Amino acid sequence: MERLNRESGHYVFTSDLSVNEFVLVDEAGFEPLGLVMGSSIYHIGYQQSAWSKNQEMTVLSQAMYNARELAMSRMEEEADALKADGIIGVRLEVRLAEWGQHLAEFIAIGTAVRSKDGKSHRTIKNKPFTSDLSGQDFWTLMKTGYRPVSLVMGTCVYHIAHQGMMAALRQVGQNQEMTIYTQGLYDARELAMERMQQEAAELQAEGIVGVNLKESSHQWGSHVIEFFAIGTAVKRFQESQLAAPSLVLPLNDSGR
Amino acid sequence: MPWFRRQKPDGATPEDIEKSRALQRTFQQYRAETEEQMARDREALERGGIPEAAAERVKKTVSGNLPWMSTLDIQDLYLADEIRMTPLVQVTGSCFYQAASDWNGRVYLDSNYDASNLVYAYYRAKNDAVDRMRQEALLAGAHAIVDAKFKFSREQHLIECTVIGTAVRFEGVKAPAVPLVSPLSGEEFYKMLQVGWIPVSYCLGYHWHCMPVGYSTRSIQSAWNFMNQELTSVVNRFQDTRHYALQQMVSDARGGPRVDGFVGVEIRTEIEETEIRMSGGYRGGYAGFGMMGNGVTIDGTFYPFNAEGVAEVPAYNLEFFATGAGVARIGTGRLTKDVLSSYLAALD
Repeated sequence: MERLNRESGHYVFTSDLSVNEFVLVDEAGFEPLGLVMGSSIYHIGYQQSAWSKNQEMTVLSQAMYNARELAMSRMEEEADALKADGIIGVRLEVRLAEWGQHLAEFIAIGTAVRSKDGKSHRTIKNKPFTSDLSGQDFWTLMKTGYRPVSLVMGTCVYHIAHQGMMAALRQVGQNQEMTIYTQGLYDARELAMERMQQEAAELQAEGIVGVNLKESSHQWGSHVIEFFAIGTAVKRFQESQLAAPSLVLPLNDSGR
Repeated sequence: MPWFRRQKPDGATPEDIEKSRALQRTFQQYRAETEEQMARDREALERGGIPEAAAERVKKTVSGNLPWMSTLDIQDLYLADEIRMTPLVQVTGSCFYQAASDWNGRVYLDSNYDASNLVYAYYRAKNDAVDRMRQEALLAGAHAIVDAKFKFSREQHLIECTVIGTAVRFEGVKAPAVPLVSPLSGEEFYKMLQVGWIPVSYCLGYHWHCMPVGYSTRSIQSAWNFMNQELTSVVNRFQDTRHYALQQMVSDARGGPRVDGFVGVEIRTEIEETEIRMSGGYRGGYAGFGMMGNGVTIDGTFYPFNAEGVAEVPAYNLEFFATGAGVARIGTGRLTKDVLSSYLAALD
């Protein structure tokens, strides 16, 4: 708590911004207040899945979602204590604990910032805005007339059916689509995206940028996958102030 | 009291635990979809369509009932804005396609030892995934799909292709009958448009060849061979495989709008040691009788048939996989709205 007490006479801000990021955040009219973190160590429950059926493992989906939300809300509480407007450069990580079965540690970490002109940029739920954008991206976004509203996410843990022996035998010698797999993958992805969109809609955002869809199976074996959709919900607040770019082609080939 | 300000560092109080539970109840509660819905989705996929949830999401997003979504990052969005390109919705496509195999789960080889079923499965997986993504884009009334990220995976002979991209519209331009597909990032798409080119499709060049080897090839690798020597026969076969794959890539490009060349090509090659089972087929019945019936001679080695009439022959699997963006030249210098407009109109 001592670290977050800005009233003490010699407050030193902590942050994980690079120099470029710091300068651009400053340019965008914000000042960094401190590094904020939240974590949640969560026991992921158990759910029996039917061997030969596609189904969502709702217990697991909800666990993955709740634990991430808990980590985020604790990070937001820290930012609240700093009277911050928002948090940028948020990283949300999951680490499966090696010291306990079904335990996972969810960590959210970012830099709390405050607008220098005193205007509030908090969400309609009176929480600080959150975003996984870097300082550079944050500056560019603000200049294009959008502001970040919140980091939004959706997840779905899905069990994809195993093939029975008979079904496998019927397929010998045939080229064919395995619609049961295709449908499982589709539904898991759609659920994750829909849930993310729903979060953004509740916060009255206009769009979601930089959507990242991650597919992983953590420790559940090859037939259970987690689809995790994450992005930054944005809202327009002014006209774009950026000038047309000029085409610059770097001559080194590191960009490949 | 906030979580981090608690007084007792060594253990949570029952109030803390209750607080965490209460907080969790305020979060979005997830509901799984029903069995009927899944069955309907499977039927839709079998008909070559897309699941209802996907169609629903696209329609609601385009009509403004849900926020738009885009895989484009901030820089890309800014460039998109600059060329009056509006991101509409994220579009996706997937297909799992199984290549035919025999009872032992081995993929068939044709007379030339090419795994043409596997090659076919790769193209079907890719084409069906792209087709489904296009269906979503058409629902959105999109002109193109940019930043389409493809992912292929193969487990035995089950091929998966998944693609996720962003459907976009060009302001004030009529939509073509079939939206263009660009696997290039938003920034690369922008750069191409600046120099008069437009990405039109995603093309795949794939070939799988199995090369049985015998003494002539294997002796080169022997521990007693101290000479510098090229495995020329392997090199030649590999050359052929690459040649077929690239030929396939060119004919893949011919299926759609005009393509003048490929950029952003990624190539993966693999050589894997394996063995193939050559069956004597009907000749197996004569095993032990005729000269031809006893086995096969490959590359200087005689492999006899076993009791089941099958010879196990060591082999190399040669796999060549190339993907890239098919691009077309439609103007010189920075493309204007008129050029783009007439190009898209001519596609119908």
